[in-house]
Amino acid sequence: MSFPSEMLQRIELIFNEALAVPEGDRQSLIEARCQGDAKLLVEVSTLLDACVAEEIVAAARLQQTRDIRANDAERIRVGAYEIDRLIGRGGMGAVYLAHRADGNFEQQVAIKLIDLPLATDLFRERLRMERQILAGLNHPYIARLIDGGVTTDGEPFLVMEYVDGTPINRFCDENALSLAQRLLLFRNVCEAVQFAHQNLVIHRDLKPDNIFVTAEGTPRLLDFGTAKLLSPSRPGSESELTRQGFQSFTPQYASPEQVLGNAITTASDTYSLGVLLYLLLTGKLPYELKEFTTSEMLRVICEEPPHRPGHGNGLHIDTDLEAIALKALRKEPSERYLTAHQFAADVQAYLDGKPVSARHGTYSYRAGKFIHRHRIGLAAAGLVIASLAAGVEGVLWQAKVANAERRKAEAQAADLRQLSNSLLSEIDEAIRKLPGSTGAQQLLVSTVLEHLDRSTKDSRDPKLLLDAATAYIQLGNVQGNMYSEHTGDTQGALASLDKGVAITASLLEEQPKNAAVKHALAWAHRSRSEILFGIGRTQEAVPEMRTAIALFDELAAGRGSSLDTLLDSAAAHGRLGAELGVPYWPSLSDFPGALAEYLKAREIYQRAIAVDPNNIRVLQAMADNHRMVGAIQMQTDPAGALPELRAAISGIDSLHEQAKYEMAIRRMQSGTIGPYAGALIEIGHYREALAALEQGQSIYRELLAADPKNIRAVQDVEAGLSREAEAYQERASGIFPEEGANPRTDAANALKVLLDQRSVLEQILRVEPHNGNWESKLGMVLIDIGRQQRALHLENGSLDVEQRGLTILKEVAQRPDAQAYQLFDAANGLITVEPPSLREPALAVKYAERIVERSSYHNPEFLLTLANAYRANGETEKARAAAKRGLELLPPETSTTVMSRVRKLLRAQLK
Amino acid sequence: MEPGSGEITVLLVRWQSGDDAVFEQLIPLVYPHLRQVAGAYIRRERNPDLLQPTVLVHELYLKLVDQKKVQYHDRQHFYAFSARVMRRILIDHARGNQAAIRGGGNTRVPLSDDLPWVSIGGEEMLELNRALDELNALDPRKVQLVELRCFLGCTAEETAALTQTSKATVDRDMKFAKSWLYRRLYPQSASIPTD
Repeated sequence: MSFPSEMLQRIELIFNEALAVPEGDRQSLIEARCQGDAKLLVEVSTLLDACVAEEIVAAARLQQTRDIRANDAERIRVGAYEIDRLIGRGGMGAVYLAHRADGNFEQQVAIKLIDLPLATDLFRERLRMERQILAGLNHPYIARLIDGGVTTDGEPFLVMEYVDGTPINRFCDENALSLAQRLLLFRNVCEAVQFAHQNLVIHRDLKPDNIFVTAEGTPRLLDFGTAKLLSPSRPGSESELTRQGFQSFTPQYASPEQVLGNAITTASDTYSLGVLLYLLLTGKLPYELKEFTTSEMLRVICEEPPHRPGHGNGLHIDTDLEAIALKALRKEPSERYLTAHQFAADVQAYLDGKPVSARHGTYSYRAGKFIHRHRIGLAAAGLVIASLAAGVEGVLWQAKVANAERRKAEAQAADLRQLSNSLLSEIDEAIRKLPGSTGAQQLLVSTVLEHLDRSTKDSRDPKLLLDAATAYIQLGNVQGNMYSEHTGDTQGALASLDKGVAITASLLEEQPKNAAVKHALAWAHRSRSEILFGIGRTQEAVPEMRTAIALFDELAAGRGSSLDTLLDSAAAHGRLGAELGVPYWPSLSDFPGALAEYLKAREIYQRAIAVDPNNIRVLQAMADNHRMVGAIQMQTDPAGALPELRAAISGIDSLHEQAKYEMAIRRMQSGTIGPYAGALIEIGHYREALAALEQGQSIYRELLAADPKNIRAVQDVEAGLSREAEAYQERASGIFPEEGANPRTDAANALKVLLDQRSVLEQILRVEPHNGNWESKLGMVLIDIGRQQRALHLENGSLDVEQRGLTILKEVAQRPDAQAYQLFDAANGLITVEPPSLREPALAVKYAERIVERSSYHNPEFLLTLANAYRANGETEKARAAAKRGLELLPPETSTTVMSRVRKLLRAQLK
Repeated sequence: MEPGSGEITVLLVRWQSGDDAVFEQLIPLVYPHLRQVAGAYIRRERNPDLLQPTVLVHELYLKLVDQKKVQYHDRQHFYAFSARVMRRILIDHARGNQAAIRGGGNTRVPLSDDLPWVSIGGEEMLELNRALDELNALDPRKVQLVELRCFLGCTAEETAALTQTSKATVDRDMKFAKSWLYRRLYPQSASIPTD
């Protein structure tokens, strides 16, 4: 086959021409082109044959190669491991069976790696997160993390224990397990899930494919690839993933809140466990998903009740067992088993033939008793806290570090002192900030308190004592500081703080120059003050805060005052401002004094911003400062308060995206909308106010859904309802007519909201039964309900509602520790209640005089109430005088003054 | 003697214009690095996400060539040269392999997706080498194309850019070259019997 290259060109020309025409026409084409040149014809036609043959062979060979690549990844090395074969491929990467290449171990491992060319940083972040999560999870029923690293290509990978087993449902069926055997196995799964929860990890994708059972019958939880770590140690990552829509789940096992994209809590995992139990018992899913469309998922998962288990699978499902399965599958997270442990306990109770909780009692009460029951049980048995508390200690210890090496180092150095520190900073930093954590907090508090009391007893070591004091202070705050998430135990909180003060005060005597001790003492006083203020003991709170401020100022004046010191000092000034004059809370109504403190705080924040312009804490504090100044200004000048409140709202909006996911910021956002709406109501802009409140309420509800037991979230909902009712009632009263408003509709809306508000208040009062603040709010709501019912002609002849309201108001007002706003509510209730025959103006005057005096004649609203009370009592002159004093507190009226409710009503009382 | 970067480009031009003796002079400059490239190339067949050999070659190019004095065609020369060196390395590899693997155990990793019926380290590599030499006598441009595509792992687009042609031309020329080589290696199966 030798010929000159010109011939090759001719061959090539005809070859290409032939390829361009349909196969059937090729032969005639090449014969025509070759013009009888037999050699040329053979060349071209054999080449064309080769071309066709090559394509077929090449395709076959490529397919074969692809198969080999997929199935036989032999000789691929990942770190120190050699890949044996592909086990599975998921959305993010692949899991391979592998072994150590150096032959040190014969152990087989599973390697998870991202091997997709298009892997994004999100995947990598997820894998790193999974590694972090697994590093903290060492449990016999959870597939162990062995190693991790980065491939030569820079992709992260995980090396995990290889679980040679079958998915749990297949295991049960293939081994024909009995009902009891299935339940025992399921209970073990719950144990593993509980362990993860105690580690602040929510799995979020529990399903049979992620729960393998080994031949020995022990389960292993796999794939924490979508798990969520309840820890702010990597604050950006979770929100980032969520924002980018990477909340993957398996629809059949997903809880309603997962499908809705709402906050995921431990109860979401118990839901998935419920689906699993249902499947193990009946061999079927609790409902059928016909298609995986969003609407179908929403409909079935969020609305359709599960089929009753019946007698599927040849197992006898009695009513107790059915109740257990259905309880786990409730649509409302708060109605389910809140923890896997509770779920497991009920399954165990069933196995032991004891009554199961699913069948009796409403959940909300039993949940509170859960920890209690355990503590008593354990104490009675005289055991070292075997499962629960020990689990929590060990586990939090791990979660804090979440990094194997560091954990190892700390574990070696661990003594009591460090342990209490890590435990508490864990509570403080990790749990408190996040929604859905009150249950976990309660669990921890009791454990930690016991622990602290034990470790400080008889100790003289100043370092240990300071750490213990710090721990007591943190604990006190977790127990009852209204400024943050707390468990509602204010008495316990004060007791813890007393211990903290006692220890630090005596330490300071010994070492008067020790800044750390001084700081701890200041912090203890500040916390005490905050808690006292929170329970209405403001007279005691103010001096306590002044003591704290003096100490903080000493620290800030000292050399090298840091940003933290500045912030501490500013925050204390702000807190004092609140105690002096925050509205709607039993402050001293000293608005000018309060404003002065807030402005001092603002000055300090401005200094701090100069130091660190992007510090999120400072920016947040500044926004809060605007909010508070606005709220106080609102007392005398609502229109003037609006710019401050708007500055607060835009300040919060401009905070970094990730911070918005933190509960505190969400609360701040909702807590700013409230006063903003309040200011709008004061100047008659009801429609705008209602729109703002609607936005606020959706945030409140979201926070509440995240943690249904969180009393503060409930209180926020109440505050929103209260303002909403106010807007409708004010508009219905006609003081500032708004176009298109209908008094009857407003009355109807007001009534509806008031009824909601009543039930929320009753809910709060069940938790805090003798809190005068909520009681008097309830009294006022009852009177308002009566009034609106009358306005709508819905009265039934009985005066029960009104009388009950008055009774509550008077009862609270007569207490020796009655707060200004409680007296204020009583006075207003006594002169505005319908019908007028129920009114007691003389008593109202008495209460109103007391609050005006107590507020040192600073509060125009109180003076208005006094004027109203005098007028109702027939003392017209006194009414005029009170109104005049009230008007003097308002900014002088000019042509640009925006009329406010208080100004208008005070002016009316001048007549 | 360590030739400067200017010398490399000069040598490359001389090689490209037919001075085969220059090839041996150039080899020591790039050989160690290109052996690594070849290693990457071989491994890449098992793990397609590994770094592309072309990326490694480009790194080498940047290292060896003075960018300030670089001529328009220098990169093309360098790639063509690298591809030729790669061919030699892989053929040497196959030659050495034959003794080792004769009697089975061939994992049959395709040389490239364009020539999947030639395995790295396989006996047919030697046959392919001879066929390329033959084709080189008739049409050296096609051989360079095969070298760039199949020994250096350049994509059709990269090859088009390097040879200053269009992708369509590269594809068409590749098809012809493949058919030619296939017929040369498998003359019997190339003639599919027709009734």
